[in-house]
This record gives sequence, structure tokens and C-alpha cells, in this order.
Amino acid sequence: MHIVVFDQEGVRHEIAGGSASSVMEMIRDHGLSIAAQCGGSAACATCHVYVDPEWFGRLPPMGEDEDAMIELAVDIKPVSRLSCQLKPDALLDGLVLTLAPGTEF
Amino acid sequence: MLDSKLSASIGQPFSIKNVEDIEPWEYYEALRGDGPIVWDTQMNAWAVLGFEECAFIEMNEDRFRNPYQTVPPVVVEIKGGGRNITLLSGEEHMRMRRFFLKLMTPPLVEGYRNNQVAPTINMLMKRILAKGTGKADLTAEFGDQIPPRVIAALLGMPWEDDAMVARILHLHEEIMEVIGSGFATEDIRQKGLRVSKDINDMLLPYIRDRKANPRDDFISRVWTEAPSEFGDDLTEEDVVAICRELFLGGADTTVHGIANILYLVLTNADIRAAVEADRKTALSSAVEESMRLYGSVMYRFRVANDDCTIAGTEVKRDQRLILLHSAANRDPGKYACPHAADLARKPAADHLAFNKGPRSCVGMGLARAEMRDAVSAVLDNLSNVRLDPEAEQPGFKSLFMRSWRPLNVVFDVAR
Repeated sequence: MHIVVFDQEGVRHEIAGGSASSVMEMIRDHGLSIAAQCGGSAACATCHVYVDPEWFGRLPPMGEDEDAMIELAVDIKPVSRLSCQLKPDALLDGLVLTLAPGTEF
Repeated sequence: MLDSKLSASIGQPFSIKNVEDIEPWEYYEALRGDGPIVWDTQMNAWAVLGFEECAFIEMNEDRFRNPYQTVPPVVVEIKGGGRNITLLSGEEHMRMRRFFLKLMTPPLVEGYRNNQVAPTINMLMKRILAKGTGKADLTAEFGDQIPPRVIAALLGMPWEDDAMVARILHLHEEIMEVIGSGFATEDIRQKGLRVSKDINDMLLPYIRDRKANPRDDFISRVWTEAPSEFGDDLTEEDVVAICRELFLGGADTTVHGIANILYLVLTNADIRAAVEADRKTALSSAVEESMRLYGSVMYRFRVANDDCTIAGTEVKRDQRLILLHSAANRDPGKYACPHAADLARKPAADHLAFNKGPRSCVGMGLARAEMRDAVSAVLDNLSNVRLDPEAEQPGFKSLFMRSWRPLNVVFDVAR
């Protein structure tokens, strides 16, 4: 699986899955600036991403924890998700995301 | 050459207390051959040295509880009351955590940088320059002063009051010693109660005033916003408990964080050159490396909810675990050349200094801002700043909370 991520400066990165257990870990392990301060337990909102509208409807729905926490994200949009709650999946190969404001460490 | 106290410790039953007041990393390295989890005879707990094991335990609170969830009333009193976030669990903890995070969103932290951090740093730097001596202790005169003044300002307290700030620092260092001991003896618990009362007495006049006269500060926001989260029955005791952890988190750990990043910049020429040339990426990475290498909080406690196996070691239900961040953040299984400061390390922020999981630090954005801005202020204002070779050199002393201190420096003064 690979994903395409636009960082906070708008630079495009193509990232392969590796052994990451979440999309947040893929982004973090690639070396992009993503705070992900809680480490991936939906206990903060610092791995916030905007999902390309083409892809948003294909994602699994938010769980209760993500739904409660994403309200704290900066500049939330209808296509906002917490990337720690998105699991690498062959069906999401090519997923396109943008790192939201306020996610830099 | 090994410190004589460290030499004496090797061969003795392991305990983190064996390296109190001395640099601990060589001791931890000697232990790694025994595996990532080792019994601490003096602390009566398992010390966890491995990064992955520490992170797993912190991320899985359903299996490894925060010890504050089952503490006697005396510890609740020492922590300021039952609504202190560290004492909460489950949904109530997550609601309180969301409330804290609302106070610390990135745009708000950017505002705090401008309105609370910058005036504090400017005032302290002016004082140092006004001495005209070309000398300063960047711990006592600078770094130690920033976090307590910033959190005092955010709480709506008089941040320019030197006597009050000194008292904030002193009381929070004392309460951290009590916490770091695990509330182990009656004497320590009695000390904790005394210090806790003193901190409450500092906060109470402001808490009472803001109930009647709300302003744009944290205490007022607790009174006005917390009831919608926690119900209309919010009492003065509840507000004290909520504010106590804001006060502690803001006033204490970042003191050590600032000392450690300043030490790194002052003692590592490569890091200093990179940071002087690049105040964005290089400075941010240097802050992360200082936290990974030196931390502030050396360890955290957890308790096993059930019998389990960690890295091949059987841990019994209700046994305590000491998550030894100061060892795990230098785990060679996680980090190449773990004892070296490396600004190219990726991912830079993947360390345990702020914890992982549902108890990760809610104020880390503000802490990072204070650390970065402190370094920039020193490099921008103190020409050719360097450690004073004729003064006491920094040491990494104490046990639970540690930083390199004192940081006696000299710098060039315009004549």
C-alpha cells in the first residue's frame, strides 16, 4: 500500500506502508512533521488530516473516540479525520491526504 | 571512568535509586543484557527499560492502570482533590483531557507565545543584560523562571511577582519529590500534605476572585466552561483540583526541559552551529533530541491489572511497573547511536518525554514553544555565550526530575 501526502507547506510526498499500523505512523515514520502527541490512541487531535474528497467516502466511519476528539482539531472540515485511526488497507492504496494546520511538532 | 558511586552499585541488586545524583545511562546500558524489564529491589517494582515495552504499556491503560486510579485518600488530598485529571479514569478522564486540550490548541499556544512567553523572556533577558557582568546562571536566572511565570500569567496570577514565582518553583519541586517517591513513607506523605496545602493556599484567592469576577484566564475558563463538561455542581474543591494539575504541569517539567536544551546547545558545537543557522527545523529537532537524551521526568509508574508477560518476563497482577523513560529513550533497538544527538533523526518527535497514549502531556505544545524561544533568546542576546570554565560545571543530579544545572555562562558585553 502507498499513500500520497501533501505536507503543511504543500509539498507532495509518496509514502509506502512498511510495517506501520496506522496512516499516522506511515506519515511519521516517513519523517514528516506530525506531532501525533498521544502516539495513536485518539487522545489528541494532532494527527489531523484532510482526506481528498474522492477518497473520503471510501474510509471506514469514525469510531466514538475519534468523533469526540476531532472537534478539537484546528480548522476542521467535512473531510477531516485523525490519521491514527486510519489503518493501512489494500483498498486504500493511493489514498490522498493533506496534513492539516496545527499538526506540526 | 566510572563514577565511584556507580562502580559501587554495579554488582549490587538493581535499583534506579543506585544512580540518584549521578548520570544514569552507563548503569542502564550495563543492565540491558538482562532484558528490557528488570526487578528493582528498592522500589519493589519492575523497571522497564525498552522503548517498545514502555510505549505499549502506556498505550494500553485497560491492561496497565495509572496507579493514581487506586490510591488512598491521603494521596488524593496531596494531589489537590479527586477532580485532578491524573486521578480520573475512563470517560471522566477523557472529558477532562478534552477540556485541557481546548486550553492548549495550537492557535491558542501561538497566542500564549506572543502574550505570555515573549514578555516573560524579554523581562528576564533584560535583567541579565542589565547586570553588565557578562555572567549568568541560565538555570536560576533564566530557564527556571520562564515556565512558572508563564503558567502564573495564564492562570491570571501576578507573574512579575518574584517572591511568588520563587515559591511556586520551590513548592512544585517539593511536590514532585513526593510524587517521584511513590508516596512511599508516612514522612513523605505528611510532607506531601503540607506542600499540597501551601499550593492550594496560593491558588485559592484567585480561584475565589475569578468565580465572582471572571477574566480571560485559565481559572476563569475552568469556572465558566468546566460545568458544561462536568455538571453544574462544580465546587471550589473541584476547581482547585483541576487547576492544581495545570499549575504543576506548567510550572515544573518545562523548567528541566529548558535547562536540558540549553545544555545541549552550549556543549555540542555541531548542534549549536545548526541551531544558530536554522531556527525552524534544526531548533525543533534539537529540542526533540534534548528531550529524548535527557528528558525531564525520568520515569512513570503503572500497575498491571492482571497477570501478564512482558518481553518474556512474568508480571503478576497488581505489581508496579516503573517505565524508565531515561533508559527507553536511548534504547539501541529503537535508535541508532542512541547516545548521540542527531538532528537528522527521523521521526524526530518519536520519544517518550511527553508520554504516549491517553496520558500524554496536554501541554507539550506550550512546553516546546517555551524551550525553542528560550534558546533563541539566549543566542540572539548573549553574544558568544559559553559555559564559564571557572564556575561550577553542570551536573545531572537528583532522581525523578532531572536536568543539567547549574548553567553558569559567560558572554561578551559591549563596552
